[in-house]
Parts: sequence; C-alpha cells; structure tokens
Amino acid sequence: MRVVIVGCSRVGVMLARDLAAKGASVTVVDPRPESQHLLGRDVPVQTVVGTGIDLDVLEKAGAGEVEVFVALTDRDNLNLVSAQIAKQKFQVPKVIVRIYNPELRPFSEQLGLETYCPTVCTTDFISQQISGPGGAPSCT
Amino acid sequence: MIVVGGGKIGYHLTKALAESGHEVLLLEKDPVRHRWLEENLGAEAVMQADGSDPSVLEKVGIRRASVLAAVTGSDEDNIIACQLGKQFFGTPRVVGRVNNPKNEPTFRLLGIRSIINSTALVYHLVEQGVGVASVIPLLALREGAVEFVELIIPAGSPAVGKQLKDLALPTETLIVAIIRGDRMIVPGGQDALREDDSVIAMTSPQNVQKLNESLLGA
Repeated sequence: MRVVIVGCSRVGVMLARDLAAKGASVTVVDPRPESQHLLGRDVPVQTVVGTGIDLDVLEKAGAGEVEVFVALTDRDNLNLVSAQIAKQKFQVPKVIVRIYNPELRPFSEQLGLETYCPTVCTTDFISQQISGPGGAPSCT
Repeated sequence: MIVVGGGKIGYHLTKALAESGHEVLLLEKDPVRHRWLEENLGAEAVMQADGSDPSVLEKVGIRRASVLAAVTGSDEDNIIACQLGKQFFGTPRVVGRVNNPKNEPTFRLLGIRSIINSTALVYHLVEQGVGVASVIPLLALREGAVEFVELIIPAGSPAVGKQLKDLALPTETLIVAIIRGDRMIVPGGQDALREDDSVIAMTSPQNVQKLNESLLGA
C-alpha cells in the first residue's frame, strides 16, 4: 500500500511510522526540512519538503500513484484544499482529512472526504467519562 | 455583498463598494486589524469573524448575498471561503484572490473561475511589451481566452477622426465602450474616436499588440 501524508504533525509522525512498520510505502509532505529527523531514521519513510497545496510538490511525493492520502496539518483550510487536490487531480481512491472545526464537517463530507474531527471525538470521550458508560459513542 | 479579509485589498474594496451604494459587509478575523477597520469604515460595515467558517457565513446572511469576495493573504482560506459560498451556500458570484501565482491552477481545479491575480496582471503588462500607461488590462475571462483592455487615445493617434468601421482593427476584437468625459457611449460603426477618449475593448491576448498599434499608433 502506498500512502501520502501531508503534515508532519504528532499524528503524522505516528501514523507514518505505524504504516511503514507494517510495510506500506509512505511519503510525508511538510514545509519543514527537519521533518525527516522527526520521523526517525529507523523506518523507511520518504519526505518531500514543501506545502501540501503545491501541485508540483504533491506530484513529486507521488500523489498520483497512491491508494491513500491523509491531510494532517494543523490548518483545516489547508487540509481541505490539499485533500481536494488529491481527490480531483490525482484521483486518489481514499482521501482522509482531519478537521478541527466541527462546522466544516458537512462541507468536507459533501466533498467526498473521509472526515475526522478531534473536537467532536474528544468532547464525546470526556462526556462519556463524566456521565459514565451507557451512551453510544458517536465520534464522527 | 460579503468581503472576506480586511487587508489593504479588502479595505479598499469594501470602501469603494459602500461608496457606490452597495450593501457590503467585511469580515476580518484579527481583532487588532478589525478595530482599525471599524474606525475607518464604520462598525456596521465590519465584523470580527473568520469568513472561511460556514457558521459565520450563515450568520452574516450568505444565503442572501449576491457576491462573496475572498481577498485574504492566504490562498487556502480564499479557496475555502469561495467554495463555501459557491458550492455550499449557492452564492451567485464568488471572486477569489490568488496570492501565490503558482496556486492559480488550484483555484480553477476547485471550481473558482473569477480570480484576482495581481502578479499575473503585472506580468501580462511586462510580457506584452506595451508601455504601462497605454494598455490597461481589465479582466481576463475563460482562462485568459478573452481579454478586456482599456486604452486612452492620445493626440496624434491614427484612430482620431476616423469612423470605427474604417479603423484597421485586428480580428476577434470589439470596441465595447467609449468613455468620453463622464459619458459612456456604446459605439456603432459610424462613431469616431477623439483624443482623450477612453476605449474599452474586448479582444484575444494575441491581438492586444495589434490593437495597440491601430488605436495608439505605437
């Protein structure tokens, strides 16, 4: 399996390492040159220095050949644009996006993106903790 | 009308629209900048809010808006604001500012056709090799296939005194309007140009130079 991850965030690093350890071919796109250092040298993860909305950078990262594209920067709008490029231009089958603003979920879903909202999930988890088990966890 | 982004462009755009009598609201998310804008445009014209947030747009009446202009300094913010307007809320017209010219294809890929790219505008001027004062590009439509330009007829122009139908205009060109003083004339073939007339012409990019020669004698 081939994956492109945009954003060498904490989640980006953990995900990249996880997938690479399981044998996936992973490329991480991030504007910071020290990303390779953050990823560690013990797993085979490629990096491309650049921003996730630059068509040339995404081309170089192999977005046209991957099965999965994950947009994980800390900026919702950047993630949404990057993910749309992956879907529309590079026809990536599975495009996953992290969105902090819950208000953007309907739009993101309308665009056909697999949308994860940590704000909702965290709130759900904490509410569960407070009210105790018994409610169905929603977390989408 | 909703303008997203209260930088120089957003400020001047809002001011100009308001002065022309349009109902316009400027959205600026930075509190310090918002305060300055409030002082200079009036509190009713500005709101401190993120124009790329759907709940904000909903709150300020995007569903009633005829135009949304996203002119922030961030291309991705402009793209999302425009897309929310166009695809999510059905705003009839959206205009997006492109900061980094490299991102223009992305704007178009994501369905934003009306684009302001000031770098491209200046580049065009330089590339066409015409003097900055003579041909002013106004608008490019359909990926630049149709261009609207403005020229001011100088004294000694070969076009002065000749009827439009007798001018040696290039192909694919139409003189759309003549602005003479404070009058706008939609010309017919019998109209003649005068010195100081401002001419608005529609042409193809390849013919701008020839148009320049016909009307300015350059």
